[in-house]
Amino acid sequence: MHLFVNVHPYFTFTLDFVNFVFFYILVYNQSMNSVITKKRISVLVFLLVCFLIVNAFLRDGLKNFVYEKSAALQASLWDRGSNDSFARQNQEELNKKLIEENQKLLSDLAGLQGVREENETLREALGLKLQNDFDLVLGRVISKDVLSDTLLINIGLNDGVKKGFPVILSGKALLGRVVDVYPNYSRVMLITQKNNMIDVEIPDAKSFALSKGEGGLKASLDMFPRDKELKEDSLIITSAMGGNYPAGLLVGKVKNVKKLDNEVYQRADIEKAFDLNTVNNIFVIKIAEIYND
Amino acid sequence: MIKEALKTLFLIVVMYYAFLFEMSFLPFFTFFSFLILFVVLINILEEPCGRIGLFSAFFLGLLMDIYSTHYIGLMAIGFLLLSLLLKLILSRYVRVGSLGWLPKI
Repeated sequence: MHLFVNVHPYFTFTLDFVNFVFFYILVYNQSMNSVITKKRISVLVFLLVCFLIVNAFLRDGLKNFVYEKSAALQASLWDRGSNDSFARQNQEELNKKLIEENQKLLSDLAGLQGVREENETLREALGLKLQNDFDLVLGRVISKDVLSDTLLINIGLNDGVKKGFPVILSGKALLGRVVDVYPNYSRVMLITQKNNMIDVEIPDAKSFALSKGEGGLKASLDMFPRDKELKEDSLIITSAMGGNYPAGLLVGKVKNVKKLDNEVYQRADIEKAFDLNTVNNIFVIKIAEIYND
Repeated sequence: MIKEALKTLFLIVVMYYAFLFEMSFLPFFTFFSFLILFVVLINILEEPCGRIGLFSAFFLGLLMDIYSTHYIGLMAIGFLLLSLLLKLILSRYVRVGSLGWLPKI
């Protein structure tokens, strides 16, 4: 099928946009147009006023109400999607990868066993109490925002959740932090949300850097000192320097190290510690103070 | 009038469930928003003076506002204005000659 599009010969977008603003909205002329009518402009102004009022007084309550109505359906859809996508993955490849990782972890564990015993002995000798684990609230994911890397979870103010609280998975893998709280629901900004910066530490290199969200469930490592060696597959954990997260939460692994001649810092991609396909239950860490929100 | 109201109501219900599906099921498979494409197509295919495209753009924007961290109305008004602009451009400057056979919405 051949499509032909005739464009007005005098069409220039900039001039016509000015024309649109001044002639059709400010100096409205009905005989010239049936798209922008007086009625439509009145409706637009009315909507603007309504939205201003709603945002001033009803925003959180309204959102919470809508979430409550759709939560059951969304939770079942999320479960279904998670199971289907997991089933779609190549099981053999996944098994092989898991076995390899398991072997590596076992050897690491054997090495750490001695250190742990020594640590406990020293603590006892010094009279130190073991540090309490985090105070956690269990929740579950309901949906992901279409245009950004944020998740909706089913716990909120009534469960003690506050803005800024970190969100992790079992195994202390960092997912993100709470950015909006409603009475029974909260919204979590993932570490991959565009321009979301987190202070991180790379224990292998004994150095600090920044984890930077790139959007589209991707994150990169930035501001890593040039004079230090950044190895592939090094673990990245949170640092307490930023004030937003407790130290020691797993962020991911270093991938594709980029050391360019004309740049002061090294960069790398981050293989994040969570896989959205398997994210169902999450934990919100109740921290006493948020220094830098 | 009643026919158009029913059509709009039907569209709103369908879009609501499609939006929930897109947010809770599709993120595992794709990040592409089919609903945005759907709304753009409605706006292109219907008559420039038609209102269903405007309603659908507004409603999709409203859903996006509610299910995100935005202020309520930000995307709704934004999508509505974009829809108006699209209709204005289509009605004034573009003639799609061979699309006449397509059914009008």
